[in-house]
Amino acid sequence: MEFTIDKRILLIEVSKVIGATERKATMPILSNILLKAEKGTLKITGTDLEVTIISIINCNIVSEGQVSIPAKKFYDYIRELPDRDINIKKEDGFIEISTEKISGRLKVLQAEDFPHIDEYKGSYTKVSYEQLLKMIDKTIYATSIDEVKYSLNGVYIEKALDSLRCVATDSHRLALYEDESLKSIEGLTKGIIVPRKGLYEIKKIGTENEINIAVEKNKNLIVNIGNTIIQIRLLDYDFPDYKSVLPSETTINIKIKKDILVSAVKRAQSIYQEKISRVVLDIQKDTIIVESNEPDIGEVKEEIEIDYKGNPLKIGFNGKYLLDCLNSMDGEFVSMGFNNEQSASTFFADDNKKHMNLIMPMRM
Amino acid sequence: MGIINKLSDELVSKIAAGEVIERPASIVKELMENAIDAGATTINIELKNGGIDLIRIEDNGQGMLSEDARLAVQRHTTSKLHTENELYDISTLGFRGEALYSIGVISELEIVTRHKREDTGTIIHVRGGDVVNTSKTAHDAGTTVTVSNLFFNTPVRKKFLGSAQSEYRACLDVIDRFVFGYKNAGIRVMNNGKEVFTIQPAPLEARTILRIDQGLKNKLYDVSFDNGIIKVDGYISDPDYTTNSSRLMYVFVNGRYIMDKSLNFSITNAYSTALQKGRYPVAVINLFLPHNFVDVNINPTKTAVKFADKSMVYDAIRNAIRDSINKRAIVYASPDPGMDKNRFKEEIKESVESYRTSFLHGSTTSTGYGTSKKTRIFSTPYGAKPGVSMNSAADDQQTIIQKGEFSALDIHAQFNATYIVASSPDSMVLIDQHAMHERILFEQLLKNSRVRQRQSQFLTVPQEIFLNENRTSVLADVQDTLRTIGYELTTGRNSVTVRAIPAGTVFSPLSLIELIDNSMRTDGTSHTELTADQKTDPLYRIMADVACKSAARAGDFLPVEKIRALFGQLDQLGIPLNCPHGRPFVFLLPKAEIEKFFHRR
Repeated sequence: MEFTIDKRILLIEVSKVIGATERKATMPILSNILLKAEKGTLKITGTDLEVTIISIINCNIVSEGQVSIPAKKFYDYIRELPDRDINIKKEDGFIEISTEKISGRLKVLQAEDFPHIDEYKGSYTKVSYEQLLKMIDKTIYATSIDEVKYSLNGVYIEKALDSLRCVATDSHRLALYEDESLKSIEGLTKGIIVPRKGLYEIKKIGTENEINIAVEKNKNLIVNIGNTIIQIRLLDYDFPDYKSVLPSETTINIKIKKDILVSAVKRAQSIYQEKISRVVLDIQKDTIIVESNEPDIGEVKEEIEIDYKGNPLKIGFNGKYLLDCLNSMDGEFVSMGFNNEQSASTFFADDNKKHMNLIMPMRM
Repeated sequence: MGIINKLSDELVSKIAAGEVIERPASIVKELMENAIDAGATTINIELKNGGIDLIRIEDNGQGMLSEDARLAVQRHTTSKLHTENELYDISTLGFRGEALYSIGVISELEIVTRHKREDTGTIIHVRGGDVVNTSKTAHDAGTTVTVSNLFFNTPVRKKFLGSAQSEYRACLDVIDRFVFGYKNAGIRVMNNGKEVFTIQPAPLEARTILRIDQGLKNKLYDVSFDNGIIKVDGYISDPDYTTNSSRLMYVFVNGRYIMDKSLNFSITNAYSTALQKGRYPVAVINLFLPHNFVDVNINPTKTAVKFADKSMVYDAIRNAIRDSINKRAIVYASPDPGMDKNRFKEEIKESVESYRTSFLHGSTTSTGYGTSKKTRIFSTPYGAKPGVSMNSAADDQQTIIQKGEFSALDIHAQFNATYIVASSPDSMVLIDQHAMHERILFEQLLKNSRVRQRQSQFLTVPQEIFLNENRTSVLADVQDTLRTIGYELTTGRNSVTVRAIPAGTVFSPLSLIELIDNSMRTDGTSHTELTADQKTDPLYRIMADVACKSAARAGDFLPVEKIRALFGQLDQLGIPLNCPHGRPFVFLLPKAEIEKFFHRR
């Protein structure tokens, strides 16, 4: 195997693929990437068996072949090379990377040991990259980082009436977002759970306007961004019955300017010493009082005028959940709905029923 | 013909005997209980082959009348119980009337006894439960019981006996319970003709040190508590003297040795974070409460009890121990400060000698021991007489730091950017800066968490956990406590639905089940003494980690001003001198030790 390629192009492609490689080195081969020179193209593959990234670039192939090399060392070395064409040639047990008077050798592993990746050959749905990123951003923060609850470690995607719906929950709060510009995804027959790591990789790669996505046999999500293919193994668990959690109606409904509430919550939260910060919303006629209290430090109280004439309610939330939710919302206003101090509360961006957050309160 | 047979009387007896007598140690226990109940002040135990070949227990108690002796070897005969009502007000160790009979059924038993009111003694031979011979004999007041040919008629049981060594150790374990439970009884033990130990009536502290470890000297704190109903006294070891099993935790209820997980738990719980995980203190705790407050008739071996008011008992123990630890807040430095080992050994030897002399020469009044001049080490309060080096009061004062004394220390240097070098007028003090700061921060977090209600986060989908009946019933008792920690639970018939969990924690059914199990007692009942600072509280661990991460690290330079400020905070907290993970943080080198090292003393 031998090929010549512009160092700058190679570096960009390697940096995309390296995200999929395994960092914990449970299997040394997974910290490697596979270089395959074939028919005028170089194919670079990285995988941790959960997420696989393949990049394909045109280059000058001298002779075909493949090689598996340690991703991090390869990347670190070529990054320091001058910006010009470099030649990569496989020798016995190593590759030689050279340009003019500079040359280096890296030991390689058996390419045959590199996991075999089945490539998706089916058709795709064309979607706006920006729309897809929006769906991710508006839900991913609510996924659970607790590795025991596998089914919550990703975003659930399913077909809704006339749109695509994404849901994420960590069992304390839930984020739901629907996109009407997207009706479905090729191959999507039932709800799928896309793991967080794969979603982050989608966010990192590419600048394209349009991308292709497809679901392969309810097993993989395939995302094709330009010359790169991301293959994400779906979480094979049942997503909890989130619909039963959504309150059918709320008796206390308040519309409030988002920025004002965000600032008030931030101020209330600032006095806490620990991560868990309970911010209390004391809802009364025409006002909502945002307050917090940390023994030994002090307390914060702030009144916000609202248009509300109903029953009073005092309800507490983890301040972080409130901010995550508010920050994910577009628009000037947020509509909040409550029933009582122990039940699920809902937050909508403006009056957009397509973007909803549900937050469980903290005990008063 | 039916398949149900009525068992022969002989078989019934053997089965019943098996419940009481499992191994030589069970016989030792039963006979020593009898001796104690008879008011013995000296008990002489002789074993052969760990008790397998021979057990002889000689006491100087009141002895048995001739006619009583004949009755005593029959089943369900006892002098300790007359009416049913008395069963609920038991003040003696024995009461079931099974022991002597049961022993007789499975061995060759010889009883020689003389009641102090009678002139001649009685000798009775029993074999396999049958009286083979009765005659008169001369004997000192008291009773000598000899058991030989153990399990000769139950070969299976004999087969299951351990090695002579392990049976011997089991016997010693049992004997130690009496050593700690009955400080007024002199006890001598022989095995295979050799003396194992002799201990005479002596304060509990001395017995503990002698029987467990001489390294415990200066490391035992006395525990005392009395609320008019429950009285607790005894000794516990300093948090830095621990072992990896709970074997050295002895609990006595009205003199009776009790094996009870939750009693042990209330002891370790009192230490709180002063104990490292999986470490146990040495403890000898005597509980005294009115006889009608406790039921000892739970099983034939009588090592279990039921209390009329469990939580009062657990609270009493915990408060007593906590007081003792906090009040002292003392650290001892070197393993045995100021102690002259040789001198100590001599004193013990002397006292042993004198005890032996008096024992062998028949001076059997209860005041006969401990009054001899030579035996002062065991018969007077320690340190009260000059020349007794063990636990001398003068030494004590030089080798401790009292709570509140840190601010007064002179600060000299920081060694390795890890240890603070300081001194008091009497000793050099080394302090691990990280562990100290960690403890201070932890105490502050703990204080905060007590001030405010625990944060609790509701779940979107309530989680149902299935529980067995034991757990369900325990849960009913601890539900309120779990609520204060942050759980919101709805109990069903065989399940519990978790609606809210302590904020900041991850819900795991196992951790909740563990909380429930920890409050379960061996007999299936529960105690309600879960406390907010208990180790099983998930937030507790988080606080310990937060404290650890925020504390000054080893390698951080600390200016004197900061050290002084830390000492000031330390003095304000009534705290054990360990980090929340249980590591000690103060090391003391008394002046006396330094002088000794340099041969100035």
